[in-house]
Amino acid sequence: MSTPAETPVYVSASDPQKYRDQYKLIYPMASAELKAECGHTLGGMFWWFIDPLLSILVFYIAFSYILQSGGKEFIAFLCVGTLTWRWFQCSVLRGCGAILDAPHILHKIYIHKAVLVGVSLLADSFKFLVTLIPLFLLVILLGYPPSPFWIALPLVILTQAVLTIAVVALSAAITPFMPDLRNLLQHFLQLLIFVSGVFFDITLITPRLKPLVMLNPLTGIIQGYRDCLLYQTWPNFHYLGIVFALSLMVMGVAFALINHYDREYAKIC
Amino acid sequence: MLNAPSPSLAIQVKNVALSYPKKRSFHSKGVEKFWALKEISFDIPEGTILGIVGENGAGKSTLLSLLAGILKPDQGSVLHQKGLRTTLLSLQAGFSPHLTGRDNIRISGLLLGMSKTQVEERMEAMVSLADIGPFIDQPLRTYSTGMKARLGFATAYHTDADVMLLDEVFAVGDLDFSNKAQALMEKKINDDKTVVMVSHGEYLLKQLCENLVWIKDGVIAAHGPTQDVWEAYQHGK
Repeated sequence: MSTPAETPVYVSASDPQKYRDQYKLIYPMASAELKAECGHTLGGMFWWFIDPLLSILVFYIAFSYILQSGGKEFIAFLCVGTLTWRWFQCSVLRGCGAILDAPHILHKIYIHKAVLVGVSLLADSFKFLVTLIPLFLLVILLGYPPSPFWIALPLVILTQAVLTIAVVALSAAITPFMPDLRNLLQHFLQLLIFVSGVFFDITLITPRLKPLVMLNPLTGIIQGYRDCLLYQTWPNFHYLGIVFALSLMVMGVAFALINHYDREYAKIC
Repeated sequence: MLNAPSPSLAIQVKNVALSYPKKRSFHSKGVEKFWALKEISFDIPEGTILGIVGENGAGKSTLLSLLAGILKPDQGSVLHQKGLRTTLLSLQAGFSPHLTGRDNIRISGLLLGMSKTQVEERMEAMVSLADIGPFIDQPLRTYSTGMKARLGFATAYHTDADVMLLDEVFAVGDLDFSNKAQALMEKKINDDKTVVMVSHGEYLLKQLCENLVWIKDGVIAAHGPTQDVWEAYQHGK
């Protein structure tokens, strides 16, 4: 007969303790995704650099005419704006489908859906980070030498990271319930690029409109990058602090939603 | 083994019901639901092999997903014995068309619960079981359906599990490979494992399973010794 020591203990099949190591899947899955992406095209990982360069070129051709501005200053201005904007845009466009687009995984094994969001975020963030070094070199070449203000950059990057995580997690949590959201997001992002100061200086906007423009957190973040890299001044720490704190709150809500609906997603995706 | 102590249970399923919403909605209340499983209860003793039969759409795969913890019941509970690893041996989980065979084995192996070291240790065994020659280093998009199935089987076969959940994993590839897969799985299953298998194959079920559960319209129509339940199933379909 079995002794008390041998009496088996039972836990629920959905016991979270059993899956606590799943965060370890994020890194290998993100590398596999990047590898797959590179293997998909002839240009492979060169596209990580060619894509943003082409965007910058297109914007330069279009806006140097419209805004009657050009030259080294405008190139540096555009480079900083475009690269940092692209990090946000690519992350949101891919990330909003992180759960919805993964039925081939979530019907076959149990995976916490926050892991899928993490994979998408890590893949796009890695692509952004590798373009940072060429960006720094370019900025230096265009006549903006490194300054002590560069040390504030990690703070700006961190703020953008938290904002991006918050927006991606929230959209990934909601999109499976409302797949049309993805289409709306695409148009919203298109609108957002025009009001985020990617192409023009927000200080050129009439003072009356400035508080309105600054309600868009990306405007302040992109401005923060330019402050450090181009204008040799400190970014607005107060503003970044508020964005950081609000993003953390949204992030908390988003991950709570994902956790709440974790096993519901397999039924509707 | 008449006098042996009764074996402990690997899985207990108690009064389980599960529904799918007919519309996507944040609220479960007020939304029309399709009840895929209603009031299901059964136990799976350690070391036994249980077959699940039923017609298409009866709820067999939903039941396996519940046992694997992929889905959570709306009512009732699915309990696993702590310390036993219960795994649904999913074929081609996480496969990407743009990765090579080896890279797909790596990612699928991790998703099925292998550690990185285990994947690398078992890599050559998995590659040789898949037996697809130089294609193993080509992207998956160049594979035939059968080759993908072989690769999926080879990865799933090398997954460790104390309790294996199998959903028709035998019907893979051409006749030769299917026979090979079946022979290997039979050996693995008889290796003192606890197994729950969904199958339509009479020979396989009769050969391997001590008991069958027949699911019909989301409820258990019969549960008992294989021969009895199989006959009831054949007559009552």
